[in-house]
Amino acid sequence: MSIFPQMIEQLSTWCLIDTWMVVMAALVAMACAIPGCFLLLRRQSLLADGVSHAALPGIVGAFLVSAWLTHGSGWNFVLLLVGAAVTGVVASVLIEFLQRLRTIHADTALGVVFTTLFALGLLMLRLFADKIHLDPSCIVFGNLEIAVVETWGDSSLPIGVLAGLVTLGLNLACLLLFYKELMAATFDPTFAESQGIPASRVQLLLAVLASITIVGAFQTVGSLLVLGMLVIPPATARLLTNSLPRMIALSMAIGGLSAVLGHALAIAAVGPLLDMAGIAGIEAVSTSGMMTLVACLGLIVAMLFAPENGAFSRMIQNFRMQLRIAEEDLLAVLYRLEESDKPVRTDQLITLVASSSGQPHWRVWAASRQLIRRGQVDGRDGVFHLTESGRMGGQRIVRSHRLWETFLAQRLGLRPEQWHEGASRAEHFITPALRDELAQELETPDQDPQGRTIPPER
Amino acid sequence: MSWLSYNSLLVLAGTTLLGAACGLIGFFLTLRRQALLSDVISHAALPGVALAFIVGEWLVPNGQRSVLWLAGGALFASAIAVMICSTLQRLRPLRGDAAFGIPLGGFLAVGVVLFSVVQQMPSGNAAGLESYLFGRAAALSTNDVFLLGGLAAGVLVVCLVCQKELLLVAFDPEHALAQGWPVARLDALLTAMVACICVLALPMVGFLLVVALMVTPPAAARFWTHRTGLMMAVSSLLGMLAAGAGTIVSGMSEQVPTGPAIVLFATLLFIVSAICGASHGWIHRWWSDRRQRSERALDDLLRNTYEAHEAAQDRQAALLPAGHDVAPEIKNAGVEGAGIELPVVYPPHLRETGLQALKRMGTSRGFLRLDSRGKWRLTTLGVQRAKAVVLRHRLIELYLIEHAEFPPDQGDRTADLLEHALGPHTVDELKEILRVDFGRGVVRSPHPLETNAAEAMAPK
Amino acid sequence: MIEPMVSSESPLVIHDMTVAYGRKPVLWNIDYVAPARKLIAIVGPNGAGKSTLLKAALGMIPRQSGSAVFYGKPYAAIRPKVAYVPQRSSVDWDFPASALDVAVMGWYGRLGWFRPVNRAARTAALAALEQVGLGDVAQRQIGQLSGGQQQRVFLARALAQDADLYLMDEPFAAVDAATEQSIVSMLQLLRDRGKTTIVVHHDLQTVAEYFDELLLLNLRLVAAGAVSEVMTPQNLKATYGGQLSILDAVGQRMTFGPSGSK
Repeated sequence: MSIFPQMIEQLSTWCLIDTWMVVMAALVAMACAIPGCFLLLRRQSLLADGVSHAALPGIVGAFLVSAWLTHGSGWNFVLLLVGAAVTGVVASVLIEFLQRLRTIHADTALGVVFTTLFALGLLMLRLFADKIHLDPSCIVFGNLEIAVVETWGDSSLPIGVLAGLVTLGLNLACLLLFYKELMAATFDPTFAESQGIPASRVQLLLAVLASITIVGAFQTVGSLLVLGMLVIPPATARLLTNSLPRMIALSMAIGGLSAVLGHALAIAAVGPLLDMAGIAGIEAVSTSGMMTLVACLGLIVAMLFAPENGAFSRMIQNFRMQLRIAEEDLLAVLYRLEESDKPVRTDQLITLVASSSGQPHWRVWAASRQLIRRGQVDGRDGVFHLTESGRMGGQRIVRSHRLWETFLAQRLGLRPEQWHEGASRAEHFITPALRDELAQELETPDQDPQGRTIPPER
Repeated sequence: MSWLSYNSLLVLAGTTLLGAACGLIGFFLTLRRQALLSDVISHAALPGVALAFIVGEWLVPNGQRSVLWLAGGALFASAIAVMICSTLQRLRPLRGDAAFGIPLGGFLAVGVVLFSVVQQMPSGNAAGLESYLFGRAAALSTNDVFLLGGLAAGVLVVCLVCQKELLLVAFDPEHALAQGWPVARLDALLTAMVACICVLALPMVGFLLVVALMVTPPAAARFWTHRTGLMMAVSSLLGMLAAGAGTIVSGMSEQVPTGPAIVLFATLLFIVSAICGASHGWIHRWWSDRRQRSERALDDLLRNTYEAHEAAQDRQAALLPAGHDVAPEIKNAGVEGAGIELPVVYPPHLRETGLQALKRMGTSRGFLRLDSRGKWRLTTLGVQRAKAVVLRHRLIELYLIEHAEFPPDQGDRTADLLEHALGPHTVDELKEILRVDFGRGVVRSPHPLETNAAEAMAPK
Repeated sequence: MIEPMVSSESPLVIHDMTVAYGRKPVLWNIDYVAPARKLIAIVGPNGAGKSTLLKAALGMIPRQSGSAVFYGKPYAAIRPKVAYVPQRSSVDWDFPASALDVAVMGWYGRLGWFRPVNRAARTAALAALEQVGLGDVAQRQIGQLSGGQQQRVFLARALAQDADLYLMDEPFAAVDAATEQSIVSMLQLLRDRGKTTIVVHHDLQTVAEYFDELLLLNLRLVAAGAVSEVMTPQNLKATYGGQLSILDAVGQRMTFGPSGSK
């Protein structure tokens, strides 16, 4: 049976709550993208990991203080943000201090500080569980389903949405205000310092922004799981573009999109899929997990298909180059045959080129089709003939080859048996400008070291 | 609950063994600069456990899930995580931190999703996410303990047997490769052992805190020694202590979760080590700094006394008409005589409090003594030492002036800074390089001395 | 005096070796036969591929083509007889090990798998440390040694291995004049004992004073032979002068090949 009707049926139960959940998640994801981009570029993504651990005692502490202030009747949003900022600063300062000890390495220092703070947070959670009514796994992994129910005062606006708006606004404001400084301190901290930009303070700002964002996100995606949203969308965006503003915009878009898709898949796709696999009774899975998972899938897609950095496009580029080399080899062989006036049958020629250049037979064949299609080779009556444009191409390759052989012999002093192989490899990478330079360097030779004529440039 | 029961003692034994194994393997891991690998592995273990649970449920509905089965799932996921890490490392824009951050976040997400599935399954309530967050040593069954303990002991043995090879690869992989050691395979062995230990420690400390047991004890051990073998032992001892103490405390109080307790004990041990450590600890460094300072002050006192007397003697010699020598008694009392003692001449900026300590130190070394008239004198040993100190100072000064082209006055000041830092070797080397005349046991100062020479001769 | 059995063979024969990072060649068609019992310097500008030559000969970097043969055998068959001294900066000197611990590593190959370090290894390592004048700091942690001493610890490790051929990557980088002198006299002592040493060197001034043989390298072998014969103005110009811009340009295009066309 098909699962699509089931999925659509599930989706048709979409209601206002779902919309609020998606809005909340998308806001958080977009807020995360901003510090995430800079952390990624500074190669400090693990600072995000560290801060996401360290945020726990900050959150629990803020809850405790607000419970104490309000006599257990509620919690204070501002206090939470202050707690987050304090934690961020404390964590950054602690790392700085430990690194100055020099006895231990940076990543070790990170590990010691953040596991300790996290352990402290967990312990506080357990010890004061009766005072603050917090579910540990909700804090750490988020729970949108619960968060959406907690609304601001009497309005229907969930507090999570408000938190997302505040953190996103804060991040955007800092981005616009300090774009120049962030950019300089990220790219080259030493240079930034020399230009009067306090790179270490910019770094601190970044850490504080990250920890505020993490705390703002704890209801939605959880203080730990937020790490994924801090790292993965920026990484995806980085693979897709080489410009910083575009990267920030893209990673915000990717974050928002993963929130929407993640929730939709969480409520509609996983249940039916597992049902098909024989595990029944699964209603919906965690949206916070699912949105990070969607972001991960996005990253995998980018790794495969990104225009420049993707594995697939690399493969295509590679294949194109191999094909070009095969075409050039064919042209060069035809040109040489023409020089000695020996026509060779098509199939023999392809075998000849394939064996002499070490390329697979099919690729050389494909190259010959390509040449015929482009009108560089005329393949009628079972024998290949160069057309005028084909002759020009072949002549260029042969000229490159023989010039390079001369260069290898005269300038590198290689032995005769080394000439041909080196030239066969290099001939495909010599531009007309380089050919001119070579000819000049070698005082315009008209014969290669084996006594064959070097054809003129065309 | 009585934590002295047979079962809890057994659990205690298991966790301490595991702690020791963590400390040991963490030692190698941090030396190889791969501390973060344990973080990735333990994060990956979470979805691994959940997946194993789901697959188990699918194969045998409502069956019992053994620890071994779940650990197998965790190991499987860890292996995938390690592969992902190394793949990401090869992508230029994501090299470095991001290559670790991405799998951390990703596996966490998968784990959360899978656990939300597990919790909706009929038999899934037992496998709550929370126990993997906090760790629960007390919940281990006897069989589990034997299994954990056995595997931990196995890892300990492998580490000890391959100690030499693991250290070689950690220190200098290039040399190891050139010598034909299979570096990649040794790395794989290390990673596999880390994965095993991480997965084993999972139910004990919780998956987020395993990394602490791998990282903190070796970091703390650095403060105690810099000898490899000893550091290894200290690291596993600290791991053992932390695990043991954490287990006991959480066994005594239901409210204290095992994982955080163990980690906080590990941090406590780290702080104690940073303060009291015998090789890099704060107290040790403070103490040796102080020692060095007073050592320098004593040297300065000796040198000042000697130079003052030397100057006084020179002045007397200058007053005499040509052809006359200094009177023998003055000469004997002066710097050239053998077996003489000199009254102490104090350097100008010496604080009174420091002076008392200095006199005590000089007396205990046999350089100073209080004479019958209540004056402090340099003993013969003290004069010898003073000569050596002065010689060292002047050799450096001469070297700086002759070979490094320092102006004379700068040479003096720089020599002040350098003389305490150089060992006896250097003095010998300098003697060779400079080839000076040692007529008087010391060389003349290359610049006029400004000492309170009057003071030296006055209180005779 | 110890007569190495393999004295008839050349310690290192490199035949038509091309090395590429990715697709870009960094060494083009190197042919070299090292004479036995000589002190040989490899000299060339930055980025000429000096260290790469050693590493590729040892198989630590894959060769695109060609071969390297040590005493007539492939490297794997004769490892104990070849000692490699990497650059000092290649390791972490905070590592908790003493000078002796490092020197003992030269003996590891002889110990083989799983055998712990024994007295013989320690004695040999200590003797090697004494030879380089570090006998009295053998127990000190390597991080507390000066740069020159660290370099000499590496040297001691190679000595402890008791090889016949020593390959050293920049042993004189960032050491003081005294250390340089003592390393040189150490190397000359090795030569007098019938060993061969190939050193990556960066200082043309001292080549004639320290070494017997010279190998001038810049992406390809410019010249090799006795120092007095090779140190000619033309050779030096060919090594350090421009002229190679074409080689480099083509190599560069081979890295980013796909976008290139004729």
